[in-house]
Parts: sequence; C-alpha cells; structure tokens
Amino acid sequence: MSESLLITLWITLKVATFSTLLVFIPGVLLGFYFERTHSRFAKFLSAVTILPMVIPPTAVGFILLKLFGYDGILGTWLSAMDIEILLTWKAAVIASAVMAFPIMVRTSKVAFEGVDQKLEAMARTLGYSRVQAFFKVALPLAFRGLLAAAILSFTRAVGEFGATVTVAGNIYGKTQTLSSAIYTAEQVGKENEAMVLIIISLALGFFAIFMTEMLSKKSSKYMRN
Amino acid sequence: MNRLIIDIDLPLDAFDLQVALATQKKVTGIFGPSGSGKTSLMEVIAGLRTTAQGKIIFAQKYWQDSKQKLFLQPEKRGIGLVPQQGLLFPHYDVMQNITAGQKRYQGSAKSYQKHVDKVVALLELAHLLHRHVRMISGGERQRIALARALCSSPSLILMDEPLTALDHQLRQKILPFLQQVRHEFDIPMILISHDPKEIKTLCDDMIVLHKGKVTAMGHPELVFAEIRKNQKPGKDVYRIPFSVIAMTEHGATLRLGTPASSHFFHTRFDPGEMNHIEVNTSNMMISLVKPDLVTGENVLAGTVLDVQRQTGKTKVLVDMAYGIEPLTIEITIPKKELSIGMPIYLIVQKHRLLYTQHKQMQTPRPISVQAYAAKQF
Repeated sequence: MSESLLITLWITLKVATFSTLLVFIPGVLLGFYFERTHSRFAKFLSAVTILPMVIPPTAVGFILLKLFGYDGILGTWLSAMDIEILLTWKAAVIASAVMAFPIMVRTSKVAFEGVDQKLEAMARTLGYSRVQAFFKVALPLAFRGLLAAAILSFTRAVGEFGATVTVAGNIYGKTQTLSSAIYTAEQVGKENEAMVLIIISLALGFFAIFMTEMLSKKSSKYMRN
Repeated sequence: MNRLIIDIDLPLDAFDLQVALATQKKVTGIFGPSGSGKTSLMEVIAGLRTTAQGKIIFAQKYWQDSKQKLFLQPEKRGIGLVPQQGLLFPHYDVMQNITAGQKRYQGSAKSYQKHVDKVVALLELAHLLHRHVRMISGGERQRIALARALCSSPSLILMDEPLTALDHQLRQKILPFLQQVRHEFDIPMILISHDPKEIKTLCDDMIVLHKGKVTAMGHPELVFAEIRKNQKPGKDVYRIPFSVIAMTEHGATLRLGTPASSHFFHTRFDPGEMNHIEVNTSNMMISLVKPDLVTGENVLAGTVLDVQRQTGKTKVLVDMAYGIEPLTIEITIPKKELSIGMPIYLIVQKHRLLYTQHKQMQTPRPISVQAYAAKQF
C-alpha cells in the first residue's frame, strides 16, 4: 500500500472517529428523549435533527461555511480564540458529524424502542432516580443497539463527501478523505488508484454493516422478557 | 399496621378511575374484572402515574397531594412492586435481580445479607441464584420478583396479579409462598387479583373495582357473599361441554359440543375428570378473521346470529354450535363489517378458561335464530 494511500486512510479514520465521538452522547440522549417523549416540541426537535439527512449535503456544507466563516456567528468567536476551523481536518470532523447525527439519533431511538419502559418504572420503585434508571437499565439494555448506531454513524462519516468538501476542501495530506480521494483519482484519470480506494471503502463498509447485523441479532436476546 | 388513605381521580381512555379508600389491614385485595382499572390504581399508588389528581397518604406521610402540588417520586415511596409479568431485569442474573433494591436498605451489609438469605430460603430460590433470568420458568420468575420486592426494604408491597400468568397447577404451588410471606414479614400488602380464591386466601380486607369505581368494600368473605347474592346466575358465563379425543405428552385435543361436532380445541392442560369449559364473555375479544395463533388453543369459532348497535356499545349474538345457547357479547368498539351469518372467532385468554366438571352433558337443542334473538334482546 502506498504511503499516500495510508495518509488518506489515516485522515479518513481520524475524521470519522472524532465525528462519531462528537455525535455519540448527544445522539444517545436525544434518541432516548425522542423515544420516551411525545410532545410537540420533541417532534419539532426531531424533525430539525433529521434535516441533514434530507437536504443536499452541499447545502449543509454551505450553511456550515456561513457559520464558521470569518464573519460567521461561530467563526468570529473562534477566530477571536485563535482557532482555525475552515479547510482543516476539524472542519471535516464537524461536517461529517452533522451529516452522521441524524443516523445516530434515529438508530439510538430504535435501540431504546426495544427497551421495555416498564423495566425503568420497576427500577424507579426500587429506589432508582430517573437518571439512575437510565444508566442502570435503559442504557445497558440498549447498549448493542447504541453500538450499532455508532458504527453506522462512523460509516456515514467515512463516506461523507458533499458537506466535507465544501467546508474542509480536498487537500491531500490535510483534509482529503477516502471519498474525496476517489473523486480526485477519477477526475485525473488514475483509475487504478480509484479502484484500490473503492475496494478499501467496500471492505470498511462491509465490515461495519456486518458488525451491526451481528449486534442486532444478539440484541434480540433481551427482547424476550 | 400503617394506614393507607387513597382519594384519587385519574382519567383513563374508557372511564375515570375514581377511588377513595382507607385501609390498615395487613393484606388488602383489589378485585375486579380485567379492564376495571386495577393496574392503573396500583401505578397511581406507586407514583408511576403523574397525571392522577388527589391524595395518597401512607403511614401519616403524604405521597401525593395535588392541592399542595406535592408528589413524592416513586423511588422515595419505598414500595415493593411485584408486577404481573415479573419484569425481571434481563441484563442481571437472579441474585442481582433480588438485590436490585439494596440501596434502600438502612442497616449493615451483613444484616442485609442475612435478610436476603432468609428471603431466598423462604421462597426456595437458592439453586437459582447464579442463573441468568432468561433460563427461568414462569413460577420461578414470580418468586424472584417477590424476593426482589422483599429485599428492597419496602414499607408497602404491591402485587399486581402475581399469579395470573401462571397455569392452574403452578398457581397452587406459588400460593403457599405468598401465605408464607404474609406470615413471616410484617409488611402491609396490596394484592390485585381477579381470582376470588387468591383474595380469600391472602387478604383480610378488599375492595371491588368496576369500571374505575369502588363498588364494594370489606372483609373478603362478606364481600363475596354479597357478590354471589347479587349476581344473576349464568350472566356472561357460558359452559361448553367437551369430550377428550386424544391425549399426547403436549396436552389434549378436545371435541367441543356434541359427539358429532367438528369443532376441535387443543390445550396443553390435562383436563382429567373435567368435561366442561367455562368461558366468560366479558373477557373475550372478537376477530373477523381466523387469528393466526400457533396452537389455536384459545380460539372459539361461531357464526353471527344478530347484531344490535346501541350508543356506546354493540351487542353481538353468536351461535357457537357447540350445543349451548348462543353467546351474547358486548363490544365497545363497533366493527362496521359485522353482519348476520358471518363467521366469527372469539379469542379467550388462556388463563381465563376454566375447566369444570358437571354430571350431565347438556343435550344440544335445535336453535331458532329468531327465537333466541327475541329472547336475548
């Protein structure tokens, strides 16, 4: 494997890992909130979190660009603290995190759907507060589903292109990930290189989906109670 | 004994649950048909229904007082709940389940262990302690749920039909355990049940709940005597004669109705000397298509003889062709498709089937649709 390929792969994994870490906790909490609350506000908030899934990724990228740009709301604040975001790997992390967030939330919600709410009520009567019942009952019982959610978010982040390229660019060795490298290789006619990258993506994707399948199969063992 | 005072109001889908009661007996029974609001009442007492309005006072401590905007969270009420399905934590083993409520215990770890050992010995659970709850049978499940409640230092134990999910034989085995618990521990209990025998065996006080209202209250013997007096015999309850055709290790195949009947019924239960099934129409569900149940052991087939729609309810007269009178079933949700002559399937919960013995099989009588329709309505 060539060195350039390894660098691209390293950046891809770094970006996907950080964005998964970024979305995991808020995704789990919101997934739980959306599963257990049926208020209008929850529905509204749920719709907002799903948005990145249904609008063009480049539109998401453009919005992020406006937010993090030098005259953007967050951009001015960050540049005052001397933090560079745009055209760095951090921008790629933020872009893929935003794109992976809906999947994290949705899949977490499904994971909590499989947890009998009565078990949490049971824990409450045994002296657990609402928060303790969440950590002692809901979370461990939904754990496999939540792990699957994290893996799916990771694959979404690996495959992210539109939003990432808009805010982070496609700079080799800096912000170029697998998907933007495939695009570049294809554009300059390096078909063999593109092929290798595609095979790596396929292997990564297959492994991830296979893992989630295994997890969902095992998670069903708790559903019988 | 600690006094429990309840005066609450909770709107439910079909009716309002309005209960006012005071009891300081050791075991208070809540008796009533399914759908009468028993479980909702229990959830209100446990603090799991935040929408309930009113007052709950236990041992002179307010658990809830809506006027004062006072609501004690369920974890602060010190309740030991034994729900219908056991609701064991599937990610814990048996021992972890039993000690799940340890944090509420005030004494030393050593004295807690002593208490747990006592409960485990009393409920005969020692051989199960390190087993996973997935490997546990129904009867054991309920005993573990009871042990978990007893080991959570409860000031009040709430049991929601703890034996309902079990078959008849198992129920006979578990009932003595409940009696033991009643005898050994000085903890007031509330027992929800639709089984008069359970209430009579365990309770020294009871209320009868019907559509969310208390309709009778007092010592079980007196209340049941009163109920028997007021009950019109045979109302809602129908006896279907049967004969055993085949017995296998998995159960029995019964022929319902006359010797010439082609209605078969499979059961996991050995009917022994019994020759009738008793069904209560108030516990039935109606299906217009043959329900896709694995064994079909709780589906009865019939034909619609008449449909009478009234405001709020629909009366359906069903010919069972089992050599019994047509059944009258009241349904609250009208099914528009119901029409005379169509086949219909009645689903009975397994544990609602009662096998009884009667000397003579009822002789089948020819049924005139009009005559019965006129008689029934």
